[in-house]
Amino acid sequence: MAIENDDDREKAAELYRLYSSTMLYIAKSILHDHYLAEDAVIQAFIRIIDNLNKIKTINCYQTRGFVVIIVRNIAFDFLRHQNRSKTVSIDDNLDYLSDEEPVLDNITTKEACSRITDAITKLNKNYSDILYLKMEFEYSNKEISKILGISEENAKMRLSRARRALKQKLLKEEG
Amino acid sequence: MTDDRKKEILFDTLIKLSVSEALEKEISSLPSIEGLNQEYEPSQALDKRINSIISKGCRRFKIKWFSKKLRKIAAFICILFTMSSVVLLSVCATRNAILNAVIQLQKKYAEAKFVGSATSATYQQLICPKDFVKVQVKKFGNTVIVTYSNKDGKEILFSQWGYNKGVSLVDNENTNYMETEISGEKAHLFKAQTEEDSNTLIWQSKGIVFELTPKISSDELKLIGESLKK
Repeated sequence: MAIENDDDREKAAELYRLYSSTMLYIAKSILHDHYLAEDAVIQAFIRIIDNLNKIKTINCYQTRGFVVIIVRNIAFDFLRHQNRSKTVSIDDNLDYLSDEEPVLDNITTKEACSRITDAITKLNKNYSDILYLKMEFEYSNKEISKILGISEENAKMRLSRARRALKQKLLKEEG
Repeated sequence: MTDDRKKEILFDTLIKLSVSEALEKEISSLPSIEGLNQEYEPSQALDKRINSIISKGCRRFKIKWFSKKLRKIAAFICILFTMSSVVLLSVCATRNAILNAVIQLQKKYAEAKFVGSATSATYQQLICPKDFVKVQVKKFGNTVIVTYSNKDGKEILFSQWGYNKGVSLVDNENTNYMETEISGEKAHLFKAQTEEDSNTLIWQSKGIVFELTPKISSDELKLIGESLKK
């Protein structure tokens, strides 16, 4: 998918006009460098164009969320490249995670959802993003891999780890 | 279904219900677009590069689209050309085969055409050499074939038929053609090249075509022809 006609061109221009500042804000908050942030925005915009068909409505929180997820992942990639020697891993401290299910039996669905919502927002962004893409946008692993610029296998693994991390977060809060 | 599996499904369902709220919550927590537009205005260089990406994206797609179309058209032309060639060649081959067959046929046979009006002429008796006797008479439509034979087993085939328009084909593969006259009428003589082949004499008279096919000499043949009543 790319810019195929004038409508797509208009859509891409409108997306940039509306969300360029949000993209810059997200990228700069991660990279703390204006020029690097602009480079990340450019990369993110190319990826948005590649996935332009997934955007139906421009001005809505889902589209803003989609743009934020893409720019955030690109910025993290930039950061990883910068700190390659430090080998910062998003999977830090995951080894101890168990597959034990969190106790959600004795509370109402509303309370459970509220607790899960809080836990998701507190998750490592790499995990929350993949949960958003899978559960909210309902993309396949293949689509997710294209959006995040990772392999399909990696997307599958990250999704599984995100679920485990969420369970762990909920268990921790229970305790 | 095991309890663990049930719990897993329940957990996934709850995530699905919560994730939308979590995303909305997270996006709502961001500063407003208007506020960010004032604080994080993209540089002119960034604007320029993004515009260039949009234009290039459109151009690249158009080039890709055109090359794809061109490839399809080229493939279509190739297929069309190949199929037309095959059809033309097969038509040509068929035509050549038919022509060759006709040529082969014409090489083997000489064609004698008779043009005139049908008459109610009566068929005639042949005066054969003395030792020949009539052994068989066959009628096919308006054609009468009389067979004469002698003691040595030699045969004279005497065919006669009335005509208005007709063609007689004579095997001339092993014969030499020459024109002659029988009782003042133009006649066609096909002289056998070997003793094993038969001579053939064809002529017409009073609305009847005569054809003699014996294994006797052409001079004798002409005498037999002349013997017919005028």
